Amino acid sequence: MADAPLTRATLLARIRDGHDTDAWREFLHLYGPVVYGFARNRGLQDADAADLMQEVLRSVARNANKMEYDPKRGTFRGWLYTVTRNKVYNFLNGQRNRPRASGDSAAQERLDAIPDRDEPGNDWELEYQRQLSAKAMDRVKGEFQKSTWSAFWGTAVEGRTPNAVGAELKMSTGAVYVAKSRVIARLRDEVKKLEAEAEAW
Amino acid sequence: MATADMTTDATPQVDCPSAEELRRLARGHLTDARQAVLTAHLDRCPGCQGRLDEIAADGDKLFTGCMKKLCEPPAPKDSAFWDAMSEVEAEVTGTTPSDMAGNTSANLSDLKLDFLQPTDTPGRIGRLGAFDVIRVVGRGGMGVVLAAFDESLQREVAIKVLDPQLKSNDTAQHRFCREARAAAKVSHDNIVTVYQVSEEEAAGLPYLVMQLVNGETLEDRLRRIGKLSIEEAVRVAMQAALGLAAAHEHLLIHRDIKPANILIDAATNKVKLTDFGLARAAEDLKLTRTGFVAGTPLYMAPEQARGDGVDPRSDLFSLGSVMYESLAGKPPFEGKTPLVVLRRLTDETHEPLHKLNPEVPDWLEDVIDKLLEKNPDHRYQTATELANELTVHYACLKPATMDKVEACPMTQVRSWRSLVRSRSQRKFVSLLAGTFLLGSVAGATGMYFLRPRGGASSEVALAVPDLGPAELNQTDNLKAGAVWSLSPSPDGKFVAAGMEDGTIKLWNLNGGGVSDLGKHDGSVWSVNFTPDGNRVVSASGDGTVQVWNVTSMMMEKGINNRIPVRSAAMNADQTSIVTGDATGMVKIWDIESMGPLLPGGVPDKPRQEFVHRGTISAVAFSPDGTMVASGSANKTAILWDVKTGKAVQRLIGHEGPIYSLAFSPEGDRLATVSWDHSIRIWDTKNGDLVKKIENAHEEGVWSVSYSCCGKILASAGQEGLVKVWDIDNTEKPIRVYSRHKGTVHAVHFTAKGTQLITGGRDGTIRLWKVRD
Repeated sequence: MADAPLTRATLLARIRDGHDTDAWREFLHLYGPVVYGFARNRGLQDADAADLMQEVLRSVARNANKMEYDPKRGTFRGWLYTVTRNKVYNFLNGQRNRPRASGDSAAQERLDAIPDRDEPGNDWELEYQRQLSAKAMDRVKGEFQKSTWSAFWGTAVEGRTPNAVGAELKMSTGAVYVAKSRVIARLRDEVKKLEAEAEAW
Repeated sequence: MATADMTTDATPQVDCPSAEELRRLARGHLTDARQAVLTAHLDRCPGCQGRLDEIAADGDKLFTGCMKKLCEPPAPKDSAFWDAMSEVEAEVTGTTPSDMAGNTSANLSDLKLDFLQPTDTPGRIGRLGAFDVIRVVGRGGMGVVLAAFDESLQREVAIKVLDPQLKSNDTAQHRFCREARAAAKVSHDNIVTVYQVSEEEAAGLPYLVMQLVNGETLEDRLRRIGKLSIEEAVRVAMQAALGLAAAHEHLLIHRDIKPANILIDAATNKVKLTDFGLARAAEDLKLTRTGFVAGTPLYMAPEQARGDGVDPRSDLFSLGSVMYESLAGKPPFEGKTPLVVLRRLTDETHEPLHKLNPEVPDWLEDVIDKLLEKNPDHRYQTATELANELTVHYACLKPATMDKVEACPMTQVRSWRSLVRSRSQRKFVSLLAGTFLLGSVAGATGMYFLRPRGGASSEVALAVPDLGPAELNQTDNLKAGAVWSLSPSPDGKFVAAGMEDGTIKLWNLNGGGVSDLGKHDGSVWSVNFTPDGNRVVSASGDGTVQVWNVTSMMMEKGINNRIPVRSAAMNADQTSIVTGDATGMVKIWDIESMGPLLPGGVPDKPRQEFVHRGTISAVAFSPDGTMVASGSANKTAILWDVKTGKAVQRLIGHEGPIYSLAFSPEGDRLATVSWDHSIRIWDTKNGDLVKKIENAHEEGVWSVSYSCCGKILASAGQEGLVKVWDIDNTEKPIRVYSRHKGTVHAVHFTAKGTQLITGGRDGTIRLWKVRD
C-alpha cells in the first residue's frame, strides 16, 4: 500500500498552484505545529515560538510559486527543517548578543543544544509524525467498527492495559491485541501515504 | 470476559505463529477460523502480543511513540500559537479562519450580503460602516443578524440589519429606526444593550449595533429540554420582568415577548430581552403585504391580537404566556391557524397549569393566571410589581445562596470590618453620590447627593452605599456619552473624566459643579492628573495627547501621534509620558520637548518606541519610573525597562484582551484585568503570576485600581459591578457596588484610598465612600 502510485496531486503541487485554499490549510496545520513545537523545545517562549512559526510559514507562502524540485535540497521536510533551525538559531543568537538581556548563559546553552547538522532531530520528527497520524486517524476511523476502534484507542492512545480495555468492551485480551494491530497497521499505511503526498515536490 | 476462561477452552495448543502470519493477521488477511485460533493464542502468549504490536507498526518506534500523544493539542489552550495560526491562515488563504467559517450554517449561505463593503482585514467577510463583519449569526423576521468586530472598542458586537425588503417601506424603516433609538436609551442588565443605530450609506439600510450575547434563546432551550424547573422558570421570568420594568419606565413597549426574544447568556446565565419594538416595524410590512397581523399570535395579549392597541400590560400578558410554556411545555393558546389561536385567545380560558405540570406551586399558578387575564385591568399593572412578587418567592425557592451584596449586607460588613481594623469608631456613614446632569436641566449640573439611607441601620448603610434616588441620565440626554476614563486630583478636590463625545469634564467635588476642561475630536480613552495636580493629560481616538492647565482651562501642549491613542500615563517626576496606541506601539515622549499642537501637523517623534503588537489598551509607569507596563488586546502584558528599551518580562496567561493594568504603590506588583473575566497579579521582578482571581467579574473586566496601601484592589466589569478586593483573601470581594446601569469602564481610588470614583456606559460618574 505504501508504494501505491500517487493518485492525488501532491500537497506541494497543490500549494504551488496558489488558489487551492484547502491545500494551504492542510499544509499550515501539518507543518505549523511542527515548527512551533520545535521552537518551544529549543527554549523559545510561547509568544516567540508563535512568531517564529508565522515567519516560517509566511516565507513558504511567499516562495511557494518559486519552489521547484531540486534533488540537491533533499526532501521538503528537510528543507523546512533547515529554514526553521536557522531562524531559531538566529533568534537565540540575537538574544545572546543583546546587551543586558536576561539569561545570557541560558540562551547560549540553548544555542549549543542545536545539533550542527541538517538532519531533522527526533523532536522535529516526532511532532511531524504526530500531525500525520492525527490526520491519518481522521481518514481511517470510518473504516473500523466501533469496538475495534475503542480497543485501539484505549490501549495505544490512552495507554491502558489490554486486559482492562477488553473487560470494558467485553472482548478477550487476544481480540484487543488483534483489533489494535489492525488499526495500527492501517494507520501506518495511511501515514506513509500522507507523508509521500506531503513531501513530494 | 476473564482471560482464564479462554485458556481452558478446547482449542488445541498451537505453536507461536510466524511473523508473516502475524503480519497477515494485522492486515486482516487470514481466514476467520485461523484468526480465531490466533486470537485465542494471543490471549495467553505475552511473547506474541509484543511481536504483533511491533509487526503492526512495522517496528517504527517513532510512530508507536506518537500514538500516545495523539490526543494532545499542538499547544496549550492559552498559547499564542492559536492566534498566530489563524492569522497566518487568514493571510495565506485569504478567507475566514476555519473555526469561524464553521459557525456559518449552510442554510444561511444564500443570504444576500451584497450591502457589505469589501474588507482588507483577514478573517472577515466584509465591512459595514466602522465594523468588520465576522460571520452571519442568524436571520430573523426583521433582517439579518451579523457578528462583527468593533475595532475602536476591541469587542465583538451583534449587528442587526433591516431586511432589504423592508427598506422600500418608509413607515417600517422609520419605525425600525425610531424604536431602535428608543431601545438604545434603555440600559439594563436584562436587556440586550443597543449601542447605536446607523445607516449603511450606499444602500440606505438602517442597522442596529448591539451587545453580542453568546448563548441560546429560551425557545432553543425549551426545544432542547422541554420545560424548565420551577426555580429556573421563576428566575427567567423574574429577570425578564426586571428588563421589562426598565423598558416600561422609558415608555418602551416590547410588543413581541416570546421565547425566541429571550436570550440566556451561556457564560453568566443571565436573561436578556432583545428586539424591543421591532415587532412593530415588521407589522407594518406584513400589514401592507397581507392586510393581516404579523406573525403568530401565540403569545400575544388579546387586545393586541384584536388590534385594539397595546400598553405595558400587553407585554405582561405575553410574559405570562412564556412562563406558562416554560412550565407546561406548550403555550396556553394553540391552534392550527392564527385565526384559531386568535379566537381561543379572546374567548377561551387556558387549561389550568397544574393539570399539565403538577409540580407548579399554587402561588406560581396564581401569578401566571393573573398575567393571563383577558382584561388588562385585572393583570399586574406594572412589570415592577410582577418582578417584586417573583423576587420574594424566588428567595424562598433558593434560600441559601444570594449572589448580590444587597441581599446579604451583613457578611460584607464583617469582612470589610476585619479588614479596616484601625478604625475604632465607626460613625453613620453618609454617602456621596455624584451624577452628571448635562442635559438642559437648568441649575442641576453637577450636583451630587448627600443623604443618609432612610430608615436603615448604619451597618446596612455601610455595606450598601445608597445613592439616593437612582437618578440616571440616559445616553440621549447626556450629550457626552459614555465615561471612558477617570482621574482624581491628588488633593481630592476634582475628578477629571474622559468622555465618549471627546470632551474632558472636570467635576468639582466641593460643590463647584461640572465644567468642560477641553475637547478632543474623538473619544477620550485616558485622562490623568499630573502628580502636582495642576494639569490633566488626555489621550484620544483622534490620535493626539493633550496637556490641559486646570487653572486656566487652556490646552498648553500636545502630541500628534496620528494613530488613535488608547492609553497614556505620566511618570512621577513629570518628565515623560508613555502612550499605547491602536497599532501596538508603546511610545515614550519627553514633556520638555513637547510643543503646541498644530492642526494637521506632522506626527511628532517620540523619544523611545517599543513594539508590543495588538491594540495597547493600557500603559503605566512603575512608581519609581524605571519601568513601563503595557497591556494589549493580544492578551499579553509586557514590562519594559525604560533605560534599555528592552522587554524585561512578558506576562502571558490572559485568555482575552487586556483592558487595564495598575502597578502597586510599591511597584513590586502589577495587576492586569482582561476580557477573560480575570484579574491577575504579577511579580514585576521575575514576571511570575502571584495571584489570579478567576471570574472576578461575570463578564469582561474593564478597569483596575490599587488603593494607596497596596493591599486593596478595585475592579470594574462589563456586567456593571464594581468590586473591591482584599488581595490576601480573594475568595470573595469585600464589597460590591451595583448601581451603575451598564458597563463600568473606569474605577479609581482617590489619593487617600478612602473613596472610589467610577464611570461607565450609563454616562454617570459616581463617588463611593470606601472608608472613613
